[in-house]
Amino acid sequence: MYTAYMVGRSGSSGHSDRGSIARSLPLRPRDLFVLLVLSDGDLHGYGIMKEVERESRGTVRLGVGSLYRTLSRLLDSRLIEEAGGGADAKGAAARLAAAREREEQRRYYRLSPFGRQVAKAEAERLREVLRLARAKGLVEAAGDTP
Amino acid sequence: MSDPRQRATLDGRGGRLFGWLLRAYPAAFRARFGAEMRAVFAERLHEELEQAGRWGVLRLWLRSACDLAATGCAQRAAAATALAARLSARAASSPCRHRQVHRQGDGTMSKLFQDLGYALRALRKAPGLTLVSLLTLGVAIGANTAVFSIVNGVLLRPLPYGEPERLFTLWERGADGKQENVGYATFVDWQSRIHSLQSLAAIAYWAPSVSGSGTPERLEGLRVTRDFFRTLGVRPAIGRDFLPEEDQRGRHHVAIVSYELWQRRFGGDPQLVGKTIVLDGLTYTLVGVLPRGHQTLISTGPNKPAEIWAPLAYNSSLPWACRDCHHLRVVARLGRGVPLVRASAELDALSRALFAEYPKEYEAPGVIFIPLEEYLLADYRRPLAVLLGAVGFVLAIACANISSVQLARSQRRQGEIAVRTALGATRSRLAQQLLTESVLLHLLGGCLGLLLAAGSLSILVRHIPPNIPRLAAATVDARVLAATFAVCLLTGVAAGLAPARHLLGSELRAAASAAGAGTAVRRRRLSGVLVSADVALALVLVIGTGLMVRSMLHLLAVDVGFETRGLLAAEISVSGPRFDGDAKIVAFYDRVLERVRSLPGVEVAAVTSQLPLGGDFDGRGVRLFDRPNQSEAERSSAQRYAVSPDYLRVMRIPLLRGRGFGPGDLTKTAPAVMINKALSERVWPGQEPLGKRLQIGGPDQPWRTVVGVVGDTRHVGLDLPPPLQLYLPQRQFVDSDMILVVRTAGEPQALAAAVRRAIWEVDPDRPITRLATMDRVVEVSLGRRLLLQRLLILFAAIAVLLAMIGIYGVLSCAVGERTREIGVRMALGARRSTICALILGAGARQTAAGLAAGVVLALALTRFLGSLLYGVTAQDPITFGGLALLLAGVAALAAYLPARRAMGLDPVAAVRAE
Repeated sequence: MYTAYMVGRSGSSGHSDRGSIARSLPLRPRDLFVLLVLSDGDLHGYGIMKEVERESRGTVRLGVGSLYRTLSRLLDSRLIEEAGGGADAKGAAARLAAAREREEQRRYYRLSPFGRQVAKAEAERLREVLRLARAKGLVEAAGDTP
Repeated sequence: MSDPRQRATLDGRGGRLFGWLLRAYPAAFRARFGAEMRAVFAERLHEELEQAGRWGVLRLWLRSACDLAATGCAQRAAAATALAARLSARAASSPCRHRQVHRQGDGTMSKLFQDLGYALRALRKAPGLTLVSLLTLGVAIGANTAVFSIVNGVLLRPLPYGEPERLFTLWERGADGKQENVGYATFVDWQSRIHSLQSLAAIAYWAPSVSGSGTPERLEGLRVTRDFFRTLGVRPAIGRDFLPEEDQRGRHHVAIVSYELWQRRFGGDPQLVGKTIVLDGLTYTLVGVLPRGHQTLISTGPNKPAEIWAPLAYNSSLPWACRDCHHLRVVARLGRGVPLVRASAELDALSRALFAEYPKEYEAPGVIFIPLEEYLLADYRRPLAVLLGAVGFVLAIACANISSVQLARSQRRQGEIAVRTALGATRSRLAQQLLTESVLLHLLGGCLGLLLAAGSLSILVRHIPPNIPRLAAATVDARVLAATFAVCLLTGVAAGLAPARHLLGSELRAAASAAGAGTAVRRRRLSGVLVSADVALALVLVIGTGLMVRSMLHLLAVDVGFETRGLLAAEISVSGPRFDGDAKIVAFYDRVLERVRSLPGVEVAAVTSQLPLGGDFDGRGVRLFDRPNQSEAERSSAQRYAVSPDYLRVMRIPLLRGRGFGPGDLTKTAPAVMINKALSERVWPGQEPLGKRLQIGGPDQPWRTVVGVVGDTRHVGLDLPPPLQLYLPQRQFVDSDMILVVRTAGEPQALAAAVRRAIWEVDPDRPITRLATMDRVVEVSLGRRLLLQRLLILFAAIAVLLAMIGIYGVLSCAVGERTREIGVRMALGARRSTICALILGAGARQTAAGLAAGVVLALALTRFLGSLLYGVTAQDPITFGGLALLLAGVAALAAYLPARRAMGLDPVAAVRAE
């Protein structure tokens, strides 16, 4: 059931209209973490794995399989895209470097504009959840604010 | 690897394993991300190795294997569902009559992958339970796989000969109707006059000593007639087979060697053919090398595989080529398309004719055919079948345990099932999924089992005495893999059926009421049955093992007739032109004895032509002077020992009457003989044996006077009564190969090296074989039983442990479920002892039922141990009763822990529970 839902979503990969953003929510924690670490800059697979682990303080650990399944899903739903061969890679030198990287099986991934919007929407949604939780006294208002 | 700048790579075995794991993913996904995943994994490995060492690497591999399997299945499911969705969308948009659109993919594969994905998730949700289940299954399936590998290697694989089903061994019929070795004259008649046999060959034992370059060594060999290898359908890989003319006296100094001997002695010299080797002081030309891996099953004994062959080269003028010199074995190949009955009839007719012609030389007419496979392997069927049965029981117990664990889990899953039913899942679909879970668990357990089996098999093969032929060839091959896979599937379905049936039967009621009291009772009854099964199976295994152990204790307590402790034995052989006369041989052994006696720590030493329990066999017919008209059939056959004077003192065999041999028994003095008590009682019951005369072997032998009667010793095996025995002075019957026996003051093994040196000081060219303590010789003679016993103890221990876990698991689960009931009972005034009795009572009922069933089953099954038992009957009441009590105690222990927990419950908290 879950998989059908996921595929249905990835099938409707219409761009940044409000509807498709809403349909992408809520994000799975590991998806959100991947989007978050990519918001700082492009990373290759191994980098994503390490960063997610670091930023989540070890609570989200991705195995190789989970990592690439997540990446494939995020790529399919256009939340991230491959860096390197894309529009940003300018000049022959950059392309050459990218080609060499590819040769060494290092592909870089980057957050797509749509992905950035979805991550933002998710963060806002979480803030709303947090606000509600605080209002209900489930979370201490002062303790958790940075 | 330690250079951080160096890019981590994944190659070799790790790379292959990772590639194999990646196959969990659909091909498209692999093509897209495979190489990248490999690179990332390599970096992770590198990092783990640096940070956490080998354990880290192992942990990473395990985690990644689970991760890849789970996500791979999920990915496949997603891909299949996407495909199905696309197809059904197309179907929906096209004007088609079948417009059934499913949200979920309805392809069988897609369902299977979905099920696998769910199953993996379900297993991951309960990691502790999954781990214990996997270990249980791994051990059980591993034991089964290891034992089946041995059975497969030893019994099931075809013999390494061309068309082995046409090969037979042929025997003369003895007076008692049993098979007897064949005389050369008879063999020649068979060879020339029987036409239904394509070819046949005669075989004699041969143990040549090799000297010249390298250490002196005694080889295991066979002398064979010219058609030996052609009859078996074996061709030398290098060089050639024997030529017909090489089977003639004078031209027969040629030899063929095994691949192993070629490697060991000649370093695999490619130019070996045409070179020479000195055997027993004579020069032989090497003409061929057998193919690699050719197992030489036809040999002196199972632990003495033949490694060199030379032509027999008999002719009828030789004294040992007579008609009643029964010492050859014959192997024959049936003509193509000839039925066995025709060959048998033809041989019988010939045999009758020969019997009529030579009535004195034959005991009875007739020829016995035994299929070669039967002859070589029949002895090993029963022990291996017993082992296979034992591991089968272990697996059954493991399955019962898994089944009851899944049953217990089903309580917690009733909610899940109810929800899914409500969402429209059909019963068959749910059943499929539950079975998939069980089968997956068993397959994973099977993988673990295969690893365990592959690891333990080599240890098993290396550590057990090599008394089983072809044991080294036991490997995990395709057939073993297929069998393991089939076992996993079968047991997976079997263990999954009960929980699946139960869950589905209860789904509606469970949906209606969360408590589902009725179903809980039913389930508890079902797990009670499983516990009983556990106990019953474990009891059968324990009783079987107990009978074997008791047999072994009886055997070890057998009085062998001599003192085995503090005794060292070494076989020495002398041969070749340097020892061409009896006097030279005698002089050699005298010097050896003199040297050995002078060693510190040696009390007394002697030589003998054969060693009791050493696997030797030298039976000779006995003619009695006072009974000249005895026919061949009536004559007794006795084991003959040619011994030096101190033999009785070394072995501590009691002299009952008369005298032992002394320095006065020389070559030229009156021929003397000592007989054992059994022989004396057999041939002269109630008479004075001293002074009687007898003849040993053929009529050309001298008449010997009985000078002494000595105690009986066991010879063939601990489990067989002492044979008739007679002893001759060594000087009056000179053998070239003798066994030195040394009585030592201290630990005999400590003197082994000194004894070896002493022998080599006399002659450095003499090969020494079987240098061992007598205790070790006895242990080797018990080899097959010892192996069986050790493995049975291991399997029985596993079975008892599993049964304990089963009882404990089911009862503690019951306590957990009945917490509230117990609380209520306590609140109403039940005493703690009552509560304890309640829980223990449940366990006791299940155990008692199991024990009863186990006793019945054991009564039916232990008789298959049959000849493996010694000194106990297959229904030995002490073993049955004692072990049933023991198992009851073990069960009580397993039940006590949950009962104690129940007693310790706080009634208030218990009532409030749930």
